Amino acid sequence: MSLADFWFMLFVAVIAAYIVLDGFDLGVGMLHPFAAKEDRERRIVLNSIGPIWDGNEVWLVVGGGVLFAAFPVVYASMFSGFYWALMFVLIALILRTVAIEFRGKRESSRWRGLWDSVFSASSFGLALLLGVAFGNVVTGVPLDKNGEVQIDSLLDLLHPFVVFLGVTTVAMLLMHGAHYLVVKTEGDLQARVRRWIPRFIGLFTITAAISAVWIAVGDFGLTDTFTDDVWTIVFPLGALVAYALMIVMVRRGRDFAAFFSSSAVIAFSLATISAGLYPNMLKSSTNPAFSMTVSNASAEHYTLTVMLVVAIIGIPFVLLYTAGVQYLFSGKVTLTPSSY
Amino acid sequence: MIDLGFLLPLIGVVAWFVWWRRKKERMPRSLLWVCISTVFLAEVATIAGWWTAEVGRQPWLVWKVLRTDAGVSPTLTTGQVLLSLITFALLYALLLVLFLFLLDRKIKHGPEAPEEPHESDLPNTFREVFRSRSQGRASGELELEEDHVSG
Repeated sequence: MSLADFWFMLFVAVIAAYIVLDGFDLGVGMLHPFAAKEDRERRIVLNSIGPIWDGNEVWLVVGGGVLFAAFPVVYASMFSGFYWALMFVLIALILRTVAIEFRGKRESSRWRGLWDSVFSASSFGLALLLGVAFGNVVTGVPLDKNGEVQIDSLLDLLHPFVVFLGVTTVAMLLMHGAHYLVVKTEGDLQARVRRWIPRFIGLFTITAAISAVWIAVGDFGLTDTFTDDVWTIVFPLGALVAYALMIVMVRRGRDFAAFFSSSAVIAFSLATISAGLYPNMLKSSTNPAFSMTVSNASAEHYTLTVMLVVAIIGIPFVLLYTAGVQYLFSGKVTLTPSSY
Repeated sequence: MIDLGFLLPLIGVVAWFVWWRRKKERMPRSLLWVCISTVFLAEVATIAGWWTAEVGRQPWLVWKVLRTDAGVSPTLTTGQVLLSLITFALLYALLLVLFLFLLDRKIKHGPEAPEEPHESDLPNTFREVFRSRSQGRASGELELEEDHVSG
């Protein structure tokens, strides 16, 4: 295993952490208008992610940083090729943050209603865009021989599979967010969300199964890894085991275990797609020879080594404070004067 | 940016001095306006610093390594960049209006009355929280009463 391979695995791990962590707060954002019936409940739902959502989004920044330093060519192609798609992500992230911060600043119900709509709409948009982004990584994009994405409009990035993976991601994060809300709330609110969980699991099962079959038969070139390197089959198996555990834990009413299993389902699914993609990072749909791979897109050995030292020092810190904050705010939500 | 960096604490010291000399009574309106302006001066200082770094570095993107014209994304059109710039300008203008509106309300509302000392011993430090949790105490002890909740 080369240093570049290690950095690819680290990149996948960071993105997995991002989707697991920001995934539940995007899910909570989408559920917000439906789960909560009045202002107090809305505040509880919002405050369930209140102290941690911004920390969760830091993982996206770390992912961008890893891509920039370790695979600069992929970073350059994606950020200029997907310019407007990323602008939409940025605008949605800004609006979502502002909605969370501004909502509680006035008592007026119209004011709060406005920001509630912005909050849930931007959460939904981000979940969909995340799925669409991964869809494009699976199908490949029109990369030319200079590594530039040649598209006429954004619609070129919306292959039917890509759109469907967006829908699958929305279903997945609705399920994930619902698990989280059940862990963080009590009373009527919790009972309401708990009743929806089987439906979200059902929706996720159907969409994820269709996506998986589509990947298998759709000739995206993601299945070769699993026949070449048989050990990589642990990733899809892990996802299935986590999925089965999640259902068992939901049946037994073990809320946190169910949420944890849901996190594992997401992480293993992402690992499966990444293993299937390897050694490609950004596939060219124009000509496979133009694809960017882990070896031809990585930075120089010296850069990767320096980065390795930084990562070995830095990542334990990030893990430690993330775990610390999650622990500090564990338990049911209670509203205080300093809540959102 | 540097000038503002000296000016901001100076305004603080002057304001404090006037407040102290006037026996903590009413402050002159002009001085209050100067104080309000510091909200924006801090913002101006941040942007001015950034501006200096970006403009001063030209024509280099990375000093003596990469020229700006060599770093431009080839697939990006002028129209795309212009449109995104306009979008962000509009978004930021909207946020500025909302910010001014909330700032105005907050100033008119005035400061909160000093809080009564709390009977519930709310822990202040991470250490206290972690210690009480590790001792397995009910988390209820750490929570505020429901009647303290306000909008």
